[in-house]
Order: sequence, then C-alpha cells, then structure tokens
Amino acid sequence: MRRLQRSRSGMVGAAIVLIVIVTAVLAPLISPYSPTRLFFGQELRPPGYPHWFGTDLMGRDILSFVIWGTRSALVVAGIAVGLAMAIGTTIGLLAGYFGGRVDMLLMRLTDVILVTPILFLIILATAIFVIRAVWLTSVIIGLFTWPYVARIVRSEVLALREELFVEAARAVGGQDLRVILRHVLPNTVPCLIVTATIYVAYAILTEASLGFLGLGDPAAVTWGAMLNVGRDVLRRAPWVATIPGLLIFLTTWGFNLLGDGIRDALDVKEYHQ
Amino acid sequence: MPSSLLYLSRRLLVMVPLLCGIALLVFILMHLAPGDPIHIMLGGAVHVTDEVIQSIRERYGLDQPVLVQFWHWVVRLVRGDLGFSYISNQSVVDIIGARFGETLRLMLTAQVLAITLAIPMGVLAAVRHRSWADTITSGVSLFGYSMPGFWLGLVLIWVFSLTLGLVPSSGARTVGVDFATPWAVLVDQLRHMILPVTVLALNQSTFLFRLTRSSMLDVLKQDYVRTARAKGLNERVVIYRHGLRNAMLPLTTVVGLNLGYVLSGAVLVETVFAWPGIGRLTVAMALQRDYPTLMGIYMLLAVSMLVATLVTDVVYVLLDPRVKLR
Repeated sequence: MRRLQRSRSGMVGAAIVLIVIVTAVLAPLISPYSPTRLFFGQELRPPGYPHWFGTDLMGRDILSFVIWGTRSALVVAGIAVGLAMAIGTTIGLLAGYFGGRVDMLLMRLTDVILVTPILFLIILATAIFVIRAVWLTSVIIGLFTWPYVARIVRSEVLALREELFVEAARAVGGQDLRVILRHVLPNTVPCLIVTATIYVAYAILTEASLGFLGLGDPAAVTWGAMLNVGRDVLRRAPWVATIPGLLIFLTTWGFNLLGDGIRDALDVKEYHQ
Repeated sequence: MPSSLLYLSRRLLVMVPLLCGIALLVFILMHLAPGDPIHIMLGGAVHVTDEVIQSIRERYGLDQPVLVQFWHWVVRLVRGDLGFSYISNQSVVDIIGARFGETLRLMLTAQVLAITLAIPMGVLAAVRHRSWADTITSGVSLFGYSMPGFWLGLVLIWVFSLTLGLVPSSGARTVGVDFATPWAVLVDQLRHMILPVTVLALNQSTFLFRLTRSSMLDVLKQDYVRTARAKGLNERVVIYRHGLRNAMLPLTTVVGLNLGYVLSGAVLVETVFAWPGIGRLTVAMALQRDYPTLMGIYMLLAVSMLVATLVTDVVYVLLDPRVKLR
C-alpha cells in the first residue's frame, strides 16, 4: 500500500476509481433527475443550465443518465470479472499444478476460445441468444474471457511449483488440494489483483462497445446505450455521444493506471510468455 | 524429411483438432439458439403454409438429426462451402470474400504504421528509463491505450469531417462519382482511409509501445549487453544490434498473436466509419441473426488466426537460432 502511494499515476488511478465507486453508490442522492425522465420539448439541448451535460434525442438529462450509468458499469465489471477470475483461476491452478495430461487438455480448451477474436465470439453469443439484459451480457463477457486469466495463472503456478516451499509441503505429505489452497493460491494473489484490475477496464469497455454497436439493452441505463443514441445525432448534437464516451475512457484509464500502479508496487511481471 | 518440414506438418496436424473444436463450439452455439431459423429466413412473412415451411426445412437439411446436420456442415466446410445466408440467400463465401479484402487493407496499413511509430518510441523510453521522455511517452501510451477506439473515431469525425470538412467521414470510396484517372481513385480511397487507419494505428501503437519498452528494459539488463558495452562498442550498436534484436523476439510473438485484438478493434472502427469490411458485416448479421454468415465469418477468422500463430512461430525460429524446431 505504501509503495502504491509512492506511484503518482497509481494514485491518480485510485482516485478515479474511488470517484466512480462513490458516484455509483450515491447516484440517487447526486443525480439531479431520474435518468429515464423525458423532458418533452427539451430534446437535444446543448450542455448548460439546467441540463449540465445537455439532453438526448428523447429529452433525457445526460448528466443524470451517466451518473446512474456508473452503477451498470460496476455491475458489469463485478459479474464479468468475478466470473472470469473464478473460472480462470481454477483452470489455471489445476493446469499449472498437475501438468501433464490435465494441463494439455485444459490448455487445448482455452486455445479453442483464445484462437478467435473475443469480441466476435461475444457478438456471436449475444446475437444468437438474443441477449440484451446487462447482467446477461456481463455473464457472456465473463464466460469468454476466462482463458486469458487461466493462461496468466498457469504460468505463475508453473514457476511456483518449482519453489522449495511447495516441494516441502508436498514432501511432508500434504494433499494436493491442501497444497494448492494453502501454498500455491495465496502466492498468486498479487498477480490476480493486477489481472482483475486491468480486466475491470476491459469488461467495462466491452459492454460499452456492445451497447454502442446496438447489441445492448436499448432501455438500460448504460454508457454504451447513450453512445448508441448519440451516434446518429453526432452532427446535430455531438455532446450526446462524446460525453458518455469520455466517461468510459476516463474510467478505463483509471482502472488501467491503478492496475499498473499495483503491478509496480507488488512487483508483478508485466507480460507472461 | 528435413526437420523444418516435419515441424510444419506436425504443427498443421495439431491445428486439425483445434479447428474441429472451434467448429463444434460454433455449431453448438447455433443449435442452442432459441427460435426456429425458418422464421428468420421468412422474415416478417405471415401467410406461409406448413408445406412451404416443410420444404424449406428439407432443402436446408434442417429436418435431419443434429449429428447428421453437423456432419454435413463439416463435410461442406472442408470443401470450402460455408452455405447460404438466411437473409440474402447469397453464398456465404461470396459475401465474406467481398469484404475480407477491405478489412485486410485497413488492418495491414494500421499495423505497419503502428509498428513504425511504436518501436522507436519504445526503444527511446527504455534507453532513457525514468527520464522525462520516458515518463511522458509512457503516460501518453496508457492514456491512448485506455481510449475506446469507437469514441476516438466519433470525435475525429466530429472535428475533421463534420466541422472542418477535411476528410470523408464514412465508407471506403466515394460512390457515384467517376474519377478521370486511376490516380484520382487512389487519392479518393486514401482520403477515406485516413481517419479509420489513424484510430486503429493509435490504438495498436500504444500497446506495442508498452511491450517494446518493457521488453527492451529486460534485455538492456542482460549480461551480453554489459559485455557489449564493456567491449567499448558504440552505444548505438549496443542498443540496436544487441538490444533491440533480442527485444524483438517477444514482440514478434505478440504482433502475430495480436491479430484477434486488432480484428476486435476493426469491428468497432468499421462500424463507426461505415467501412464495408468484415467487422461491419458481423454487426449487421448479428442484428439480423443470420447464423450461416456469422458462422462463416467466425470460422474464417479462426483459421486466419491459427495461420498467423503458425507463421509467428516460424518467424520466431528464423529470428532466434536458440529455438529449435521440435
């Protein structure tokens, strides 16, 4: 923690992340209007009083919309990253620890997903199952991104397995499950924290991309949904698309900065071969 | 047989089960889809008799057991037949073929630009580690890395196209205009490429920059670099011949394996700029639920990425004599 405080960029990232979380929690208190309230006759108003970020095509207040949108962004991050980390860590631990056939089988499984562009796979799945709900989209994102986590964890475990303390734990008759949970897993935690932080940025960006492409829930209060609305009125009302886009950008930047800061503080290697 | 040929054939053999796995995954996804594909084919048509539905079902082999359907699909796939689109009834191969070139044109230009931009800057940042040049370039790169491509695209269109009117905002060429010379055609196409290529190249270069920097930092700490310096070699020779050459190795892998990332970026950038490529096609087909085309695109991309991985590995071996083909 102290080392993270020494990293200026890491602290900027932490501050941005904190602001996003506080905004999400306090959304009902700080949002000037309901995000879905339609101001008739005030459609496409430019930023100014009383709509500080302007209004969209349907007369919704963009400031209120993006404030409530932080909640969706965090829900997406929570579900998608939680799922990807849970599956990826389990698979990575098993593959790295047991090696041999288990490793080969599990890694071929990850390859099937890894050899294709993930966004295509996610688009394919959302299209086929007609998935629009935010939480379901998040589940899909989680289900298709775990192989990356599995790869990272596996390479970490491969190195740990050779360490003396793991060998000693096994030599004294420790059962595999116990060795994995008590000795291997705790040592992958720094790497897991960094990976999770960076993946939050990825998950938020992916969900926003789907919303932007028109593959999200058009009625949901998400940044991506507003971007999709703004795309068609870019000439008349550039603020509708640029403001939520800017917030997506700042949020992903914040999480990336924080991830980098933690990486440096915990001394986790950047790229795993 | 020479060892390199043996290696290549073994690698190609490994690709077979992987492709089968991908084909199976795509097929399962399609068959789990809710609703009847017939309804998608018929669109909004209301007055359709059961006989017509039955005949369509027979024509597309949808009345057969799932395993038989999978077998037929795989057999056709091996022959290079990806079936017909539900929506336009065109051959999927034709639909994809017309657009793949456009995507490649965009991607390759962006990739070349990104590499020429990112590698010298990455080297500079690593050589001057912790200097202001390093701090600024690293800061800017993370900033750019986090920037959503589609958002940057919208901002660029707004500024350079809608406001300043300098470049076209969409499409790959001006439609409905006859250009007098081939030169004018080329200029028109290049003008259309400026914005999408800028977005893709910036996005890629930030990533490559970070990688070059960290790889170079690792290499510059090595003993052989110290030896080279101790020999009294020119610093430029040390950095480029001893440093960069070795730092390029992990970079090669990443550039090759990064194809999927680039393609994902292309989906968004093509949509923003209405570029008639594979990415935009994917989104359009996804919205219309045209499964055969989607499956075709997916298989094509999977094969391209497998080939890219293979090429990367071969190039790696050529670059690094320490790695033996096994």
